Amino acid sequence: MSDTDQLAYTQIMGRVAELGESLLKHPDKKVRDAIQELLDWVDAFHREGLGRMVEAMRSWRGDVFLRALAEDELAGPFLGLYDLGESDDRDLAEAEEVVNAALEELRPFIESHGGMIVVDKIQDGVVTVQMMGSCDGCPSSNATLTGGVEEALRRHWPNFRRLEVVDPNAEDDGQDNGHSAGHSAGHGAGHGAGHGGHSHGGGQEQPVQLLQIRGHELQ
Amino acid sequence: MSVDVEQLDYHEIMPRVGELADELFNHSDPEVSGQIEELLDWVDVFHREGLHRVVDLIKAWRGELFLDEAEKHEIIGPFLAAYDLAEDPAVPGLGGDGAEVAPSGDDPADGDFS
Repeated sequence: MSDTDQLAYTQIMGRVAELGESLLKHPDKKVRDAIQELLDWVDAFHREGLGRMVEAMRSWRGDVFLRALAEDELAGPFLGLYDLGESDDRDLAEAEEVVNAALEELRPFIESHGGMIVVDKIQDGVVTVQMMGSCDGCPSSNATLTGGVEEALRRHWPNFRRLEVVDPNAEDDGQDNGHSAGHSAGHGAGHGAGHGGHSHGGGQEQPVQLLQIRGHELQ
Repeated sequence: MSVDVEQLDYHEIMPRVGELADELFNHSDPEVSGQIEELLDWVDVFHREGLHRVVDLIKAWRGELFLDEAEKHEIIGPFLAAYDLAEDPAVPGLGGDGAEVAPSGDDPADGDFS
């Protein structure tokens, strides 16, 4: 960036995208691979850092504060890039559509085992689902979720951060639907971000540190 | 079609970004180094301005204690530190000043920072 480069805040990521696209067309495959990986990790770092912060802010001041952020001329576009915080109805509808499309891929398999998967909530890149029917308590559910649902979500929804599975048998404690197993992955603006591991629902402990990006497509 | 997946601990990400950036800065094609430098500068500007504004608004909502706890969080702390909003010598920022950032602290006991 030269000394004289100036852009409005909302133009910055457009310029980043232009530069990224130009670099990704470089004739040297090593350059393209390095750029792709760099963009993926930059996205992962910011998506997860900001996502965790927004989740904490939601616990701290609730939706009121996030609505104030969304209306701010800098904070709004900043959070909006990652689809975090208060989403408008259209963004939420788009997210639901994409998430449902991703889950459709897995439904035939799940239903063939007498189970059903239901989306409970989509917020801050976290998709919360319930496994119903014979999936509930099925030992293969965990593998199905981590291996199948996450990958489908990662491919379909760039803003995906983490999958949480609500136990439909847990008693409602007034905060959330009981414990959930958290899993994650994602891909972002460039592509991928997420983390792998386990967590509990209700904004409680999430001792997950690993983030992942999608690697190169394998032939 | 299948994909492989690369995983890193959160604290390992920015050092890896630094390695990749160095590799690209030193590429024989000057256009690559110029473009990657501009790209990272703009990424830094976007996130620095956005995050500073978010933190200013948190303070305006009397969130000093919230920020104190956030700085100790194992992910939020290093994230803030990358933009000089917390201390963390372990994570280099994106900016060209070579600033380094803070190690994570212990999780807060109140459970809000998951």
